[in-house]
Amino acid sequence: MTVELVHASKWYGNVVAVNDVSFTLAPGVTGLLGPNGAGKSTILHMIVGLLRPSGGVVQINGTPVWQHAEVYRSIGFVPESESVYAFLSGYEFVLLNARLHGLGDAAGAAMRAIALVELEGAKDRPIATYSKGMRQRAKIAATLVHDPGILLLDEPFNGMDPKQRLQMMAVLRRLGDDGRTILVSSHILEEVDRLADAVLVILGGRLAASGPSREIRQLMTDRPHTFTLRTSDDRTLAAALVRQSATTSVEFAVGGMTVRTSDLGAFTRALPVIAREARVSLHEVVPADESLESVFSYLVQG
Amino acid sequence: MVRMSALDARAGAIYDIGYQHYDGKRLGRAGAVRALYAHGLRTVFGLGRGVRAKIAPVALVAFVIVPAVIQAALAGLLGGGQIQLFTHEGYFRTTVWIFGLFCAFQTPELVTGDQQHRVLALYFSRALRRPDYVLARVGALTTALFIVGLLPHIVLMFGQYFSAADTLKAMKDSVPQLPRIVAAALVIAVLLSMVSLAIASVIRRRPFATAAILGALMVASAFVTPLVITRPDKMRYLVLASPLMVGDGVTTWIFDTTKVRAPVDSAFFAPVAPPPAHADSATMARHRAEVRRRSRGRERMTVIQIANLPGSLYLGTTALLLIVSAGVLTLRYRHIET
Amino acid sequence: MESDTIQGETSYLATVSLLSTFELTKRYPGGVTALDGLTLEIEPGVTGLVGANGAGKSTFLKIMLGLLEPTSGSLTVLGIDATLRGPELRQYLGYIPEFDCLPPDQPAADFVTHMARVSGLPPVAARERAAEMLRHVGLYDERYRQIGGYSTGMKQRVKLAQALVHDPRLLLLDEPTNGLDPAGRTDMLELIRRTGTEFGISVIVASHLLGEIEQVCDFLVAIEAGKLLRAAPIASFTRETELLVVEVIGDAAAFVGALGARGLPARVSPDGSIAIEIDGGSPFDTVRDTAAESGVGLLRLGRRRHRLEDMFGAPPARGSDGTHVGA
Repeated sequence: MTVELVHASKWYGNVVAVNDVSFTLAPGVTGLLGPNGAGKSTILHMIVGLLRPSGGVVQINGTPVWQHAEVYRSIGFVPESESVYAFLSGYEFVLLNARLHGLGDAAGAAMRAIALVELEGAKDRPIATYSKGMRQRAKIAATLVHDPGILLLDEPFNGMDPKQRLQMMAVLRRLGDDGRTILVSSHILEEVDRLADAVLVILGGRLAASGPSREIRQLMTDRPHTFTLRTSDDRTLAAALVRQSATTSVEFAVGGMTVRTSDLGAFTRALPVIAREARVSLHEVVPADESLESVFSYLVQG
Repeated sequence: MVRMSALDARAGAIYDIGYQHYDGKRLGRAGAVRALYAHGLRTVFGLGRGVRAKIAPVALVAFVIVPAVIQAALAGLLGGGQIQLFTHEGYFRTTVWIFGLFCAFQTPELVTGDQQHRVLALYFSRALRRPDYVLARVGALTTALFIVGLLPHIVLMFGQYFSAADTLKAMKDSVPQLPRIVAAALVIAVLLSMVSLAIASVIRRRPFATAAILGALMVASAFVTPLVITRPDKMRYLVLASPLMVGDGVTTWIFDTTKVRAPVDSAFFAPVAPPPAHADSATMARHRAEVRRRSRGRERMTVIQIANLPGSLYLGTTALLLIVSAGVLTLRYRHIET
Repeated sequence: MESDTIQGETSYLATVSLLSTFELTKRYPGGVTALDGLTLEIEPGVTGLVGANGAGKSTFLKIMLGLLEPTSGSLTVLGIDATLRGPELRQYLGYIPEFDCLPPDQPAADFVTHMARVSGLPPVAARERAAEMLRHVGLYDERYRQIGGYSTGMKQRVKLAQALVHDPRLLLLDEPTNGLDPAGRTDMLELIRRTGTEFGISVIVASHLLGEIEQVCDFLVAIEAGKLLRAAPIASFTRETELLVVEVIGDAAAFVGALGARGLPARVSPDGSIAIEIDGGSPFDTVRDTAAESGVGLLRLGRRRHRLEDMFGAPPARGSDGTHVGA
């Protein structure tokens, strides 16, 4: 199942919410990132067929989504807003969705979905009595009940406690590994980093970057890579590193030293060699700006 | 020798503008209630909330005052004592419905907003106690209504003074009216504020609170009045179901305790006995004339007079409404979830 | 006088511990047990509060504020019994609820000044402190615009400003970064750190996000199903293990082989990192030399630390060992 956006745009009068965005979603988990108001929700709503693209094409497996209701069979969408009937029980709500999709064995599908999100214990209580995290799980179950090949989730872990978050992340990972195409929009970058194989970063309605975060980082050649080192003799090592052409700066601080380099490959190869020559022991080498958080903040800064 | 002051620009200095702790005076609950009261008073008149918030209160206050201003101006132009468009008592009767509108629009601004936007969570996480909040809001609305209620009467009185031939005599003559005016304004203020606050406190959205208050005050009056006028013998007690009418009754009673009663005996309000089946034309004519006489008589009476109930009933109903409203407010804010 | 010193000592002790509970229990009608026999002590500083499975977190905060009575047990904050002397205690507390709680039709400057006065500050001091707090949280010209037009980040700052305006001794924050984008989260967490360190105000942060708790807090209270899971400094949750983790750029398999040849058994994890048992020795130099000789790039080196999530018996993500090296 592939989701394809080709030069997709959405404008409301003079307000351009999404500006010429093109990407293809492959099976696995992809993260959708961006500041508030950047256009992430608009893109999600276009993929789900709730919004019509003003320009370009949004299609699933080659078929445009807009006004092609048969495509909905393959999509599951968990929006950020409250979208449950609180007077129904968890099970009833999932069952309702199963029936709305016209599933043959709606009850069986509902039970399987409930089991997947581990909501069996509370399934017969009204959703109004659920905590926020349980409501989220009910929403996810309702979205999974028709076994969609494509899943779109907007802040799916909102309100879940740490244990539930880790469990749901494992569920989504499994579903992604099974070959489903999953797009998760979230502000919690440390979770997206663990969950997603690749990310799409939206800034001001435009696609700023795509791909695995490590590769995006590699492409930022104008940003020196930052390492934090703890060694047996910071200053001696620093003196030796400074002589290395790839080193752009060295800084000392209480916890250790910070080295910046313009050439990741050359630096990482040279470091153990230089340290050995200088007879300095390396206790800790930490790449400080390889994380998704750093990559994202660099992209936002421009 | 010139001494260098601490602020000499030639000597470099960096001033500590970091976070400072507060070691000053703290006013406790009294200060909190005073602040909520003042804030409530400003909210009721739409102060500090932009232009839109001021439209309703300013317009309504204008409606309340402008007739008095007109009368005062006319009296000044045409000479004193000759123009008496409004008596004090009559003014209360004619404007009480504007107070009803005022409450319908402004009471929700005062209390429903705090519930709807969950600001109560911030209030009650402070030393302020729940009854303090209620007290401050009641105080604010009552004060506002009281002031607005008094203003036109002050204008009327000054109009009389300065257009009268003998200003001092006019002043002396008006002294017995003063306590009545104050009492009437106070009763209207307290009654309407308590009832509208009680209603607004149980409704979570402003438009619905406005609708509910309009219903309880205005619609009730509009509903009750024709019923009482057409069938006073059966419907007179219905007057007590409308808080505005009850307010009207109390103010009438304050100014002249006899005026709550009709100037005729109660037989006047009974339906006219239908003529016998085969009556002659003279009997029919007499029947019609009697019906006409009675309805014209009723036209000259106020609704309160038509209802023809003792003043104590109005006072008692007012007390009852106040007690019930206070109960509703106390219970509501004691149990409200923040 | 002797009795004076003893009294002096007890009152000193009473203020040293920020918050302490004894067998604190709260059961709701309907059978939900939010807190079950909680006994713990929190020192001044920045403390994280994490809960799993249940309504414990918000219940705990409400009892701290003296707004909810426990079923049994006691809770003392700043030496004051929260249940018996709630209103008195609340003078010293600042609270930021999780949900939206600001009126949309007032400017922030007016609202924060008003809240200062409701906290009992005299009019002039209220205005001055409101202005100061708005400056500290980073709201400048915006403060004269109506709150309804603010972004989520600005609204969170207003909530923080109103919580600080009366100079509380303890700040209670419920999910302070909820709804904020990554930049907003970073800013808010920085503000919280500053409040705890620069401003000298103790903070309790209730959050579901372990990452941000690790960033900002010194101490952690973890509750599961109403019972205390653990209450300890963050450092004790993130102790180093006996495992050394290395990431290289280049031929990882060859590198592992070379390590084995030098007598250092190592294995490659599914996510590509290499794990080496430390076993009482000091393999750092061996790793360094092996890397130098085999020509791989040394990307990461360090002892693996435990993560906060380990205490919840978390399944590993991505099949890795949950690598987390470095501070």
